[in-house]
Amino acid sequence: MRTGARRESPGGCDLHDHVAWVFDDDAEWRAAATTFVAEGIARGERVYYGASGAVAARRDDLAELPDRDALIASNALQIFDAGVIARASYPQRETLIRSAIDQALADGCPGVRFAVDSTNVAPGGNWDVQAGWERRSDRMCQSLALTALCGVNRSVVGDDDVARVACVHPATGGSGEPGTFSLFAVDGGLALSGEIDAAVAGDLASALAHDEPSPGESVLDLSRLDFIDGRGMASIAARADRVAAAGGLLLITGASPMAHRIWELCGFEHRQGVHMAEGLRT
Amino acid sequence: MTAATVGRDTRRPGFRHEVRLYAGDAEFVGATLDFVRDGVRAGEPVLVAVGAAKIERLRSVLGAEAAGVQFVDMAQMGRNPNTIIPVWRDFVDTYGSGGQAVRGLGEPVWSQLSPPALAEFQHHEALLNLAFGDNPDFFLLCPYDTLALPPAVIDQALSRHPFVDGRPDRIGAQYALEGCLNAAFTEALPLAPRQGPRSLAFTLRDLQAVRAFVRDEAEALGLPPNRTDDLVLAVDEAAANSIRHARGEGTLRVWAEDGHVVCEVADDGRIRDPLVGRRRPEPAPATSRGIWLINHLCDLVQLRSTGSGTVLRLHVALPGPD
Repeated sequence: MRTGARRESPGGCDLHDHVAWVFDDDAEWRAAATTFVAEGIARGERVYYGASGAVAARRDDLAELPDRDALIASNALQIFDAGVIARASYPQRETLIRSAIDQALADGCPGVRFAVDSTNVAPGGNWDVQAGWERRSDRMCQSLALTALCGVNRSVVGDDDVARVACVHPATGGSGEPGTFSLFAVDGGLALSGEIDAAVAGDLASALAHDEPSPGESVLDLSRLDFIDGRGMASIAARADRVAAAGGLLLITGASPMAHRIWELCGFEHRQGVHMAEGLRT
Repeated sequence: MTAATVGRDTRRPGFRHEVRLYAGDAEFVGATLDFVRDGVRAGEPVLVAVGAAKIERLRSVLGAEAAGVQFVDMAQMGRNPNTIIPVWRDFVDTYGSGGQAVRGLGEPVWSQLSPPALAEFQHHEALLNLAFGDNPDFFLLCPYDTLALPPAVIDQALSRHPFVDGRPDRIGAQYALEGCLNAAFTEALPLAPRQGPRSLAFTLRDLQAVRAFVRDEAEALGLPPNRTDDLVLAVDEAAANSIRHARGEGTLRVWAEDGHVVCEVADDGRIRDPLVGRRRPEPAPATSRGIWLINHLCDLVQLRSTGSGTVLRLHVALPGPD
């Protein structure tokens, strides 16, 4: 479900789900990935498993998967080096993923499922850049026949960077409680969920900066937002300014009466390039 | 011609913040009518911000000339004294551009002001002198009722208004801006009740806990949901300010007092801008808006900041005993 909600299990993922899975030791990741991969296999999806390191070690991550070797032999399961993918450009990566989906659909599969341990793939260890990639892959998950589980080892990456990358997924599960909000793709634009305060203001500002604004109308849906402060609203206003500069219009939907009030108190109501729709939230 | 008549001819252009004393409600119209009518007749934009009953009395004696006056109910505009300055500022910026002289008549609904609100109103009066330090051609008259108000309040008013009772261009003998501005930031707050306040120490990671704490306490004290939302946001903004501008931590206390829920956020930081939260924020996204928001979300805000720290006390009214 693309709702920004917390996930208790890596199982039960449907097409378009995009889950950040936080773990503290590798055994947790192996168990989560095995559950996720086995579910994809059971649904007839083509499954890709990626991690960095030697090929034998990557295969060993799925040692508990029934019929692993036969699945690999039949191409139902493909194991790849996440480090190699991470060195490709964004367009190259997107082309690879799109062609994998096209092939799977042509072969009669309902879709493609990716499980990737991304702990060691952030370019130069920069998780802000990695979050930018995840924003793009979230758009693909939302619009294509794709499901993804993105593992991140908290004991390696640290709480702050885990929060930075988890917040651009529409669901998070595993260890700890990384961040308090999510920014994710929906039809026609983006949605925010959860709680946005000073602790995550920087993460929100960076998350909103990843998408290149386009000249058309784009939606920012606030209907799943439980709390937002003045700085959070200022990040949205900054996003609106970038959209306006690109000749576009940001249409803010689903704002609660309180969100409306903060927007007006902040003095944003007459801003160019943005319109906050009257609240239809129930 | 009475002292109440100070036309344009007798004063220099610029900001004129004047107190006008009158003795009892019956004298109100007599003390203010000429001021308003002179403005209208001189073609000056006039904004009258007083209680609803006084608006009606002025309207009826002004007759057709009332059409040249904007009236605002001070019971709404002045509910929180910290939000009055930006209303005057907007008026002056909108109608006083290009050197156009403008007039304002401002009086709170005295019976509406609790003792702490009255104290904040006096700080507001001192800060007005600073807020229009750019000296726009703005004549602001503040009537004070000597029968309704205790002598100490009248003395405070005299020390916060450079001009008194229509004396054209002489600074009032009791005017003492520096001390009054100092008091606005340093005057001791009334003691919190010894029994009752519940407290929570916080850092950046605890903002969710701060909000949950305020929500639980406010609901337990009987605050309705929409006002609880206001208070939760206001306290979150205050706590975020503590984290940002002080040493990254602070203490929250909550209690009930005189029909209000009171939340106090204290930290070891120092705020030096006396007009903080009283200027309409710039439209640029990155502008600081915390105290502006707090002022507009709460019914009363007491801010004190000295070398030993900053205290923000936020009051939101509980429903009356209906």
